[in-house]
Amino acid sequence: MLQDKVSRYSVFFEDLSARGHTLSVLDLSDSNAVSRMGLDHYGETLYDNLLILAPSISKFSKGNSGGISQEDILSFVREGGNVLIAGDRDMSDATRQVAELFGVHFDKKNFEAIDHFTAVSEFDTK
Amino acid sequence: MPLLSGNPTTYSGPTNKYLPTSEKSLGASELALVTAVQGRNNARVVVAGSVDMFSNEFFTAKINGNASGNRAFAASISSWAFGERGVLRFRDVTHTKHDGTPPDVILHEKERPDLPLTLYPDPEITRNSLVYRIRDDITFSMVVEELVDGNWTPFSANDMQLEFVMLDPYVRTTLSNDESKGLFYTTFTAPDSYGIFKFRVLYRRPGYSVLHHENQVSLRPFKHDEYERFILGAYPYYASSFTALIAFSVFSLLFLFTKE
Repeated sequence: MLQDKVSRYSVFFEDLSARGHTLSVLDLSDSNAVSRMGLDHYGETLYDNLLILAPSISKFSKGNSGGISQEDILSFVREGGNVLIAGDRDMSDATRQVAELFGVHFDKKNFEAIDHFTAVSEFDTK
Repeated sequence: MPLLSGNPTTYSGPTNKYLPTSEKSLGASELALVTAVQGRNNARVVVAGSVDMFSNEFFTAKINGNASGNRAFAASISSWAFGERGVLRFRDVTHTKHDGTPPDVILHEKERPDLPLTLYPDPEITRNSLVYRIRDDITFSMVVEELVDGNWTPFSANDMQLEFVMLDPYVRTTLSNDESKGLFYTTFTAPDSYGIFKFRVLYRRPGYSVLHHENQVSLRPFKHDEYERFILGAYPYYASSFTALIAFSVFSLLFLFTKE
């Protein structure tokens, strides 16, 4: 999975491993790992599921030696892989485009779903 | 389909300033905080509106004294997305005539020892040419299972349909369900049109993977000795021909043996 700050989601990852998934985390700040990453190997997918928890990734690019592009994600889904994508307030256009490939349209930047009536006080950003 | 929608009071707007009332924003009915999509090959994509939803601080937060449901929610959407829940499969599809006898196989492949072996023998014979007759009573059954907690358990539903199709469905019936074994079965009468039909079960429901099965059979017309022996509408003609026969015999006896 593609990941920004690994430690922040550790409980979620522990739950996933407890359910029997083998996790391999790709930390995006490590550019060497990014360029060596691949979703499929000669047509067969290497992973069953893909989690994209890095909404501010600037580009899904295909470098010379590896990397993942949007077409890779599409063909991964076409082969039957499952994907979980998360957005954020400052998500990038690349993530937005990937979500649009699956029919999900995100609103403009800095737009959030706001509910003034049921805000929780310690997380309320006013 | 939306998995988590906002309250009716939710709207989409910028966080750093007030939204002027003239600008259009999406209201709660059009917006979804988490959306799920399932492709025709049963690949699933879940798009969550915020990555913070999975973060540790949200998992352990308390709202008005109750723990937030984020952890349980994240667990359930990720288990759906990764194919641990809502996955169906079928097995043991059988179809027979109503009394249990299997359909006939009318065309058998001929042995051709002089020709080379091939994967494509006589092209005019369909594989397994199973043949029913029109107006036969046909029983169809299949077992459907669902993946629950890593085990395939029998699935139950009361809205699974079977279609008997030749370009258009001629028969469409709901399958009755034997819940303990996940067995879906029904008996129906084959239509009057003969030709190549297929049994089709196509089950698409939100949250479940697509269940699609097609099975081809032929339907033949009546053989000449399968028609009714006596036709109700012909009784007047039977009556008239026998009365003519009897009347002629009686008349001939009368004619020959009365003195005049």
